[in-house]
Amino acid sequence: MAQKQGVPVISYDRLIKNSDVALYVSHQVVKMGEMQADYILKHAPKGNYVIVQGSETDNNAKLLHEGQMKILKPAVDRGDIKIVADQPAKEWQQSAALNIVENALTQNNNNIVAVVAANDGTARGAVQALEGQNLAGKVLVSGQDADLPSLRLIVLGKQTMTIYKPIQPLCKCGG
Amino acid sequence: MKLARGEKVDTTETIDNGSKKVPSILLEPVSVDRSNLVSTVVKDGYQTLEKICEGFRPINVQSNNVIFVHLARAAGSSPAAKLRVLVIMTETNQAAPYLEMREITKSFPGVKALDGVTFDLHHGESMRWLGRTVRANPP
Repeated sequence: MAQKQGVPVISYDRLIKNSDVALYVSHQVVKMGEMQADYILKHAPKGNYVIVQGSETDNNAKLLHEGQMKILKPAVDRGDIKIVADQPAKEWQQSAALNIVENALTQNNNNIVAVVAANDGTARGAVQALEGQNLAGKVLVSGQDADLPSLRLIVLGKQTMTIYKPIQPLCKCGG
Repeated sequence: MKLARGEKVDTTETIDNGSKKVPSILLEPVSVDRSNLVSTVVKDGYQTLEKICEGFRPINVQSNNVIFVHLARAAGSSPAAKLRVLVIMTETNQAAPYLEMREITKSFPGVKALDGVTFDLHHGESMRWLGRTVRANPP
């Protein structure tokens, strides 16, 4: 093992279990889900919601969803919002997200106020679906990762927000 | 890397991975939308406004008017100087110009840099300065 040769091993994003890891660097995934839901709920406090989750085989997708629901559940219970679709996008794929949102739009006669998408890729799938119905920019869409194509969509007003994960703290302690 | 130098990383947080308590750093996420795009991802150098706005002509301003005014960008200058970008979000008073500048003249010894320049910037309009900025003083 690298660690035995004196090379420190850093576990990034996902924790390597049962091994001699020098450092674990990760994101506060639950918090990111909370931030997505919080932002969307503030800007669309009432109406029909679609949730596009990440891959169902990815634990981070579960944590993200957990964070989102922490915020959205009380609004659902109050009757303010209704979650009309809540599905995982296979392998975080944009095309899977496109399908989920397209179906949700059809089933609800386009009566959707927000898409809580797990990351920027799925957000772009949602935007594609909304563009098909001339709803891009009218329906809120969350994301995550601050991908360049999504930052462009944010400037254009088609994606509403993303979660940016600054790596500055890493540079400082690693510098 | 501090680790490679055999130093400790400053973190008090640890997470148990089954065989040891691993020192951990949990990064603080930031929520980004149009209003803080420049003060976050662009300011950190994570992405440049040029890249983000590449090919936009002019920037779409239908719902929330957003104006990117590229004030200046000095080649090879510090990141702070590169960030002479103003993002203006406006929702009201769309008829009147947001910014009016009349008859600006600027001279440096031996050179008249600007000679009676006038321009208006309206809500929803995007404008760029092209060319290098020559700065007399070091940053």
